[in-house]
Amino acid sequence: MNNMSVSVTLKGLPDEEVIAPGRSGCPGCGAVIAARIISKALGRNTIMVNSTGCMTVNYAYSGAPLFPFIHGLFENAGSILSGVDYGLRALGLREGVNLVALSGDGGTADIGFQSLSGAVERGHRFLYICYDNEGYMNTGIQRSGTTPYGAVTTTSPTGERRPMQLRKDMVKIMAAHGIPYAATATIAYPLDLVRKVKKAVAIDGPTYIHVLSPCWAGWGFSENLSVKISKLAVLTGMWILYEVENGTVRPTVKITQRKPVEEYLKAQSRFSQLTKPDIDRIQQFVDSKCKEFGI
Amino acid sequence: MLEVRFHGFSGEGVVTAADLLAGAAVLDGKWSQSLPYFTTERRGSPVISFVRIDDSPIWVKSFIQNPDLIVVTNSSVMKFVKVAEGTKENSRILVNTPKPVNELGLGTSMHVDTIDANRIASETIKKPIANVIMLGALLGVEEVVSFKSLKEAVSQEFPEPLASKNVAGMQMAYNAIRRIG
Amino acid sequence: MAAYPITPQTEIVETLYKSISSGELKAYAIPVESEHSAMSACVGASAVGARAFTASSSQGLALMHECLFLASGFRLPIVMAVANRALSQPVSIMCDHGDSLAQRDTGWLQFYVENCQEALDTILIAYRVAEDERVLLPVMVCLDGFFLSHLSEPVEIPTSAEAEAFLPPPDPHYPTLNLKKPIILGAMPYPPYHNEFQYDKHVCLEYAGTVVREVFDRFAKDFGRKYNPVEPYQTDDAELIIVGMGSMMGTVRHAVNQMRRAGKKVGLARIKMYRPFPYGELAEVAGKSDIVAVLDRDVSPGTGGILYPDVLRSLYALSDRPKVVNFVLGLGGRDISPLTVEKVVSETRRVKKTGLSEKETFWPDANINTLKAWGISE
Repeated sequence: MNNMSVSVTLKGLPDEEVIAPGRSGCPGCGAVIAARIISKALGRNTIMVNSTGCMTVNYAYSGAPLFPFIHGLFENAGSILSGVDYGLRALGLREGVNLVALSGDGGTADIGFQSLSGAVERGHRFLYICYDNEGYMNTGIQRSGTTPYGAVTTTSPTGERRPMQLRKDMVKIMAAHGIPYAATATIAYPLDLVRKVKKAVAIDGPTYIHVLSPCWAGWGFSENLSVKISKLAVLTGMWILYEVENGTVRPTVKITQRKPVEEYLKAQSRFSQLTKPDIDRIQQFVDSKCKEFGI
Repeated sequence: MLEVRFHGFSGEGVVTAADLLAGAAVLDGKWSQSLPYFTTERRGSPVISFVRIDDSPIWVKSFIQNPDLIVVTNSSVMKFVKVAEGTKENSRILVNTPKPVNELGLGTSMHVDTIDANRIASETIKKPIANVIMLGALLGVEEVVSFKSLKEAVSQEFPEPLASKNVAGMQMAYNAIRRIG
Repeated sequence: MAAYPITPQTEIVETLYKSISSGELKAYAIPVESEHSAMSACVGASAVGARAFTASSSQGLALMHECLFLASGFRLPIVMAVANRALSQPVSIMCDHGDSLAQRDTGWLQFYVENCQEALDTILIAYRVAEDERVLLPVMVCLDGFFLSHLSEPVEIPTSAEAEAFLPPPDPHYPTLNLKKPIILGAMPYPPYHNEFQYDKHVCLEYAGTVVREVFDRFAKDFGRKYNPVEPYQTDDAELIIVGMGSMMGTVRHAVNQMRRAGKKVGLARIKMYRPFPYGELAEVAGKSDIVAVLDRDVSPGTGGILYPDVLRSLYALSDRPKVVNFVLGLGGRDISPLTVEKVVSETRRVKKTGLSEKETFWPDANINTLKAWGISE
């Protein structure tokens, strides 16, 4: 199903929650918000594979998903997914099941990269969702491959200074595998996220969505501002909402007047060690990426 | 050997308070031990910290089942955790709360002290983080370490002006328990 | 240092990162993307002659399993701190020895420490032993997750000068990858030599025990703290001796003191050096007692504790050997209190009185109600 358009409205979203009541994560957690939206979009005909991270702790107790869920290890969501995909096929049960992974940035871009790349390269049918809180948050805020340039973590105490990029660009890497669909999303644009999830699961092949999920404890802002920070990321161009469908890149939310990145950076204490040259560098990273998208 | 058990929520400095107490004991020339216990890693989950103080080296490394002193830094944790479990006849409980003792549901046989440490915290350090201030109150209940050493430990842990503000709060809490001033 | 964060090792790595970034510790740190890469990076660094360190626990340690063979096979003096944590599944972030004991056959030396001072001291000792030309094998220093990794207690920290006098900067006495004298690491020797490589490694690991004792003596001279491969306490006249490893032995020591005050002739023998196993020393310390209780904070499912067979082997050759009872306890961080120790002692005494029991392995802290509710018979 190529170039499928899915229309989603707030009214059109089901009332039914596909997660149990309660919450076992930190109050205000961006990833929990993402999980709730994603679960609603998926519905109950879903089998989910999770790799170790915040959403193992935050999703497997109160607020747990009401569909089958397996947490294996940290690095093997991709391989477990592959096994579930073919196991279901072998049993004649693959039809009508949304096979989804929910992994953090560590389990996706770093330790889990090998198994994800392998699963995607082989063309298994699944939707892999990365909730990105830009660090290994559950173990106490250590840097990951998606920790943005300049952010302070316990393993980048003076600010992350990887030499070449703002962060590891997982959507670009996934798209480079030739998959039919890859997209970014974030919690401040829930309808955009729901539309992308529904679109992805309808596709017979590997699909990937990367969801920016702010973490107040790790990023340094007040716990009630997760959605605001998520929105600010988009409005400053630090996070661009787009999809790549069979190689065609298309922004899904157009920002008319991009705010300077400094507004985003100043709102989080993880960027408190930035110098003016650092901020300029980040603005440059953002400017050149936005240019690609005509933003 | 004196055994103190702290109860609170993660993200509120329970472990820091326990460490400060243990550190102060060392400054007093004693041996001490501070051991935290939490089940899941997230902000807002119940945390317990165990502190032991003795004149001679402490070998035991298990949880404190029968504490001499219990410090509850956030009274809401009492909804989830039996903070008074294992108390002995002479055990004392100190709770951070503006409520009177009889509204805490701790039974009449317990020795309970209360202190509105959050109010003191908002006056001194201007934030509702009462962990260090509770130590001042604890010293008011029982002089487990010297105030001098506790002040020293706080000064080593926090930069100024936070250290002085915490010390001021500790003093206020101490006075409140002792009914001074 | 190349390390990947995992609870409860994170404090170690974070503290070192702080020291390195402030310049206090002159070292490079690689924030690798997995533990497999952490050990691989250590192998690379050690292979060119740099002093390498990493730390891990549980799943992370399990993930680096095949790399541990690289380290010992290449004879590299890498030191790793293991903050002992139970292996999944079920997931637990709490302490037991299953993770490091699952690595006991990798050709690494293994130490298990009882308190924070010993943790610090043993790292220094580990490097000195590892880098000794008669050893050249990697060393694991195991400290209980949470019970030691997160425990604060008074510790004497040597000055830089004192530490350097004991452990000078690396001066590799082993072939390294360098431009002046090229070597190939990782060749395939095929049948004619494979066995002999393993024999060499085996003999060196065995002999490492002697080097360890020498280094313990030197450490005692430099710092005044004397360690032994087996740490006995109140064993001279003990009728019952408790053998085990790790922080729980501190609690056992406390319980032994209580029991001695009550007139019970109990003692303990803590295994500090687990690999190579100090068979002779344990036989000497525990051989004279009537009965030995082995505490295993681990289990080989279906078989029993892992320390147990090593203890049996120690005592086997003795003509008048004590009975041995195996206890599996403290798994997944279950607290081992003085009461648990008393339970162990009374169960052991019961076995001594009545002869060896119907069970091979006792689980003294199992929750019978939970097992009943699950329909599992004891």
